Amino acid sequence: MCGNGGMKPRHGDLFATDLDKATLLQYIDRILMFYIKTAERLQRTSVWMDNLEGGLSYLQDVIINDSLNIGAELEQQMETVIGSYQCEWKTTLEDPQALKRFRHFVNSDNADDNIRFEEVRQQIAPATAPVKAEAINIISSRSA
Amino acid sequence: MSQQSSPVTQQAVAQDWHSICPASELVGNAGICALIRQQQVAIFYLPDENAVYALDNYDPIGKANVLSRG
Repeated sequence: MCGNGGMKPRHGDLFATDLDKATLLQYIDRILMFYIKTAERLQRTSVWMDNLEGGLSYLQDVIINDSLNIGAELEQQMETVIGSYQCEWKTTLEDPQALKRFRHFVNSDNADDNIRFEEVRQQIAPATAPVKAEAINIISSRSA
Repeated sequence: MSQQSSPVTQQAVAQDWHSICPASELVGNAGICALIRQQQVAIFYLPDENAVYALDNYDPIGKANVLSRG
């Protein structure tokens, strides 16, 4: 764990071996939660662990031996995170009130006729200004 | 001035009232867009003032109908 790529590469350390699945997940939950509680924002886990006094062995003590007696609390917090997770897209799609924000007009189902596409290499792309103007002129002359 | 960016016939708007939507469709301190005589109008509702303001929805710099989005 706590390896890092990029400008300051660092090999991961072996944290524990021969774990059954339940214990493995328990350790991962504890480590992630402990990291969230103690790391700086956006801090790499490698830097985080290097800055911990005692480094890897301290972390092993906290996670495996529960030396701070916070293991159950960390697991409970992870449970809360998992339990309260929601996909915001799905939530929005199920909420008619929220869906209203995605209509262009409050009083019409029409779309914005200024949004135009042209085909570039068999894919749609936003129309360039001249193509757009031409398309709008066609519409206006039809409706005139 | 620009024929494309000021298509709202101002005289007609000044003379006529249009029913657009129920007041409940207005979003407080935010904008909605209405289609009025084929023109896009951005409408902003300010609950504190109990006032509604409107302007053309077209952004002449960005060349897009987005002003109701704020």
